This record gives sequence, structure tokens and C-alpha cells, in this order.
Amino acid sequence: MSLKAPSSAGTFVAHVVLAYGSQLHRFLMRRLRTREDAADVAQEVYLRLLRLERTDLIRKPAAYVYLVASQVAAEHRLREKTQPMALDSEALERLTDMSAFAASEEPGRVVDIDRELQRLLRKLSVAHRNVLILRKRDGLSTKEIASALALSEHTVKKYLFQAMAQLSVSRKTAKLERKSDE
Amino acid sequence: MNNGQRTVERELKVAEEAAEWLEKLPSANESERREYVDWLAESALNVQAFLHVSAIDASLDRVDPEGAIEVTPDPEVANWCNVVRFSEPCGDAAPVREDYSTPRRIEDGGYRKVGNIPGHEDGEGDEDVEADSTQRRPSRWWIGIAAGGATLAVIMAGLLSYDHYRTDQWQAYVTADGERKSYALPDGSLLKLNAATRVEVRYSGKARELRLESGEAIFKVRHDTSRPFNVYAGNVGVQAVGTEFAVQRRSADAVVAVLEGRVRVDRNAQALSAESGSALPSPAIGLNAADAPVQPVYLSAGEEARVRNDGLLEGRGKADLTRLEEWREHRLVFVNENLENVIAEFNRFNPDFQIRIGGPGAAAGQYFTMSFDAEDPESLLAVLERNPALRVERRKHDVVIRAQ
Repeated sequence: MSLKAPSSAGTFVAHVVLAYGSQLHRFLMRRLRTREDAADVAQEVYLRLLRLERTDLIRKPAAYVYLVASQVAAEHRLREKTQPMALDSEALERLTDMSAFAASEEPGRVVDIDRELQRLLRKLSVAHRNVLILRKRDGLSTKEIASALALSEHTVKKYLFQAMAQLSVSRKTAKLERKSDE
Repeated sequence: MNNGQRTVERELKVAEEAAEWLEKLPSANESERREYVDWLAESALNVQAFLHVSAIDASLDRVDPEGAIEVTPDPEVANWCNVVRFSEPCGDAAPVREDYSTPRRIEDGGYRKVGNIPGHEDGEGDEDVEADSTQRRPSRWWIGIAAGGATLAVIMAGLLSYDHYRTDQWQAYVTADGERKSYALPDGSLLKLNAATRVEVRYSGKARELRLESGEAIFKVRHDTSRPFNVYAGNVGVQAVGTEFAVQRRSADAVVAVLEGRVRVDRNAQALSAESGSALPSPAIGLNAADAPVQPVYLSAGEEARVRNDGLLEGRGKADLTRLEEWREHRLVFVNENLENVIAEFNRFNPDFQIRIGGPGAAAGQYFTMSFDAEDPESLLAVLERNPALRVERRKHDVVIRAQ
């Protein structure tokens, strides 16, 4: 069985990648674990975004960032495996199965990530953690959180963004520390 | 050092901006999106920060599924007692998600109750639960449940106390052929049923017991040390504390696969049941609780074991996590499916995000062979938008697909 080959490798990857959006997140989680990779991927994503047609980018901004990031990721991966990309059903399987997107990320890693996140969460201030947990775990809107915690929505948003930023930056720093320990 | 501090401060500032965009983008208008693109184009550091924050956001999707983190009063906020919505008496640190009063179905839209809750009719608050869920991030399914759960807890508080549900009756959850459903159990644990599956649930003060009568189910267990979570599949008993695992019951054996955490597999369900202070009503076939004092087996994440009905452990190895994840993640798989059906399927999973076909010609001759995240209709739209034959029209309350 062979799949109809789309017009170009680009759209092919795009299609696959769009269909596997949630795995992209997981990929990013892992790929961004080392600083070099993160900077690397980000730089490449950046350059490609600049080349994209602006109107497209404006139409679906986040989707395009993920799309481009996952293209970069997929190419990274294929390069690592030094497998040429062929447009057949096998390639599709490779792309969808390959570990970059594979759902079965090593369980140990997932646990590590969770633990690390828990640790970072504990380091947040109570106010920041409350907002973040209500938003992300319990799925409340910022408005709902504002009324629940008797804060202004503006404050809730501020805490939310600060909390996310602190997690993101301290995870990066934690990585660095670990590296220098080794 | 000063320099390093300044770097961290700058990074924090950029990351805050990224987090703000991440939150804002789903509902951003064109000029806001334009602004975002400008921001991205400013520097590769911004792109990097956005990817980092996205990654954090993605991992937060799965954070603390057991609800162990309590939302505690902030000493700086004096009137914490305004937090009445969580149904807990004011004063003590009130855990937010404790009160899952009733099982809910979470597919085709509503967080509907199923089965019979003794002494309570179908609640009228159901519609409210879904209201304004557009405000919430589209997220993993269990977050969706959590969202519904928090609100539902408020609605149901007072109407139905937990004690009402603590009955010795078994309550059945059933799926037909080709059907998959998810339920939130009273304690916040989640039950995902594969096709043609029947699970019976009994919650008592001592134990949470589930009988897998047929088919396959994933159990995402909420941590509760006082009440073990036992799953019986014929003669096989599985016990978990704060974990996620799948059990598949077949005619001659049961397959247990662990997605997260660790479970104990008992090759004698009756023994496990008795240990938890209850008893299985119907004696399991072929095996007596008295004999076969076999040691339980412990499985950890990524492992799977096949246990025969006579208690023999047949295979222990790596679980097929890809298959389970695919199921867990609600993947929609289309093979040469026409656009109309693809859209219908998405609409079924996303009541707040309806896609319509405008005009008779639009869907003609459009066939898809693809796999999507069921809760991510944007991915479908992104594909459609790249299709030169189609035009995607985003309107206030829905999206219309037209022929170009």
C-alpha cells in the first residue's frame, strides 16, 4: 500500500506534523532539555519564521510556530538517523513512529520531568502557585480564579505569567547547574 | 555575578511576555496576532522563550493528576473565605478538587451523569457545566474533566453529599462495539473504556472496587491511601495507589499494562478483595481463595503482564504504550474518509468548536487519510486551510468551510 505523495516534502511533513501536534509538545519537552539543542532549534525556527509569508504567520501564529518547530525537529531527527526521506507509507510510519514523536517516551524520563516540575512548583510563592494550579490543573479561567481568590483579573494574569516564566527560566537554570555538576 | 543576575531578569521578562502570548493567542484578534508576530520577529530569544514556555505549558497539562497540591490560603489575601465555591468549609486549607460527587461522562459534549445515583435525579445544572468552557484552554482530556469537576463540585455541593454515593451497589459503565467513553469517578479517578467494555464500580468507605467484566479499560487513579483502588478481571486482581494503568480482559486471561506509577497484580482477586475488607459477591470460577497462595507481582510504568485465569503468570514484558497512548489521547484516525464525516467526528468531540460545511460543493471529492488529536480541531483547520480547493471562514461562533 502506498500513500499518494503530496506535492512536496514540505507539505508532507507539514501534514504529518499537524496531525501530531500534541506529540510535538512532548518532543519540545525533551529536545529543549539541553541548552545547546534549545538554542539551536530556536535559532533555526526563528530564521524559518522570518522566511514565512507574514500573512500566513499572522493568520495562525501559534500553529505556525509549532509547525515550523516540528519541521525543524523532524529534520533534526532524520539527520540523526541519517535516513533519507522517501515519500511512501514507510516514511509515514517512520515519521509518525519515530521516537521524536513517539508517544512512548521513556517512562523514567516522564517521571523525572514530573518530579522536577513538582520541585519547581514548590519553589513558587503561594500566590503564584495557587493561580497556576487553578488555571492549569483545574482549568479555571482567569476570571473565575479572580473571583475565587478575591483578586483582580489583572493580578491573576500577572501571577500566571510570572509563574510560567519562573518555571520556564528555573528549569533552564536547573539544567545548567546539573551540567556543571557533572 | 551581577551580570548573570541581569541575564536572569531579562530572561524572566521575555518568558513572561511569552507566557502572556501563549494565554492570549487562542482568542487574539488580527491586530493582536500581528503584534505577536512582530514580537517573534524581534529576536530568536523570543522564539526560544515561547518554545520553552509552550513546553512548560504542555507538561503542566499533566501536572498533579492526583490533585495532591492544595490551593492554600495566601496569607496576603485576607478574605480567603470568599472562596465559597469549593464547597469546603472556610478556614482550613481547602483542597480544591475533593468533591467529585458523581460520575460524569465526558464524550459528546456534556459532563452528563450516568447510571443511577440513589436518591438523586438527573441534575439540572448540567448545562452550566459546559458554559464558558470556551474560556478554558483546549487541553488533555483529564484536564477537561478537572475543569468540569471543579464547576460541577460547586453545582452539586449540597445537592448530593459524598455519603449518598457510598453504597454497596455496583454501578455499571458500558460501551457498545466501536464506542469509547470516559468517566470521572466520584473520587476524581478516571475511567476510560475501550469498545465493547463493561466495568462495574463499587465505592465503599474501605475500598474502591472495580470489576472489569469484559473488554478493556484504562484507570487513572486518584491517590487515596485510606481506600485502595482494586480492579478485578476474573481471577486477577490489580491494586494501585495513585497511578494509571490499563487492564484488558480476554476469555482466558487478563493483560495488565502500566502507564504511570506502579501496580500490584494479584493472581487471586478474591484474596485482594478480602484484604481490602470486602468480598467479591460471586466466587470466581476455577480458583478458590483458599488455595494458590501465589506471591503478588509488582509492575512499574511501561511494563505489562499477562495473567491466566488459573493464576499463572504467562508473560511479563514491555507494554505496548504507543497503542494505549493513542487511545488515551483520543486520536481520530481517518482512512480515506470524506470531509463531511471527518467534520462530524470533530464536532462530536468538540461541542464548543463547531465546524460547518457551507454549500453543497465544498465537501465534494475531499477525502482524508490522517490521524488527528480529537480535541484539537485547529489541526484539521490548518490542513483545510492549506487545501487550495477550500476556504476556511472563521466566524464568531463557528467555522464554515466553503469551496474556493
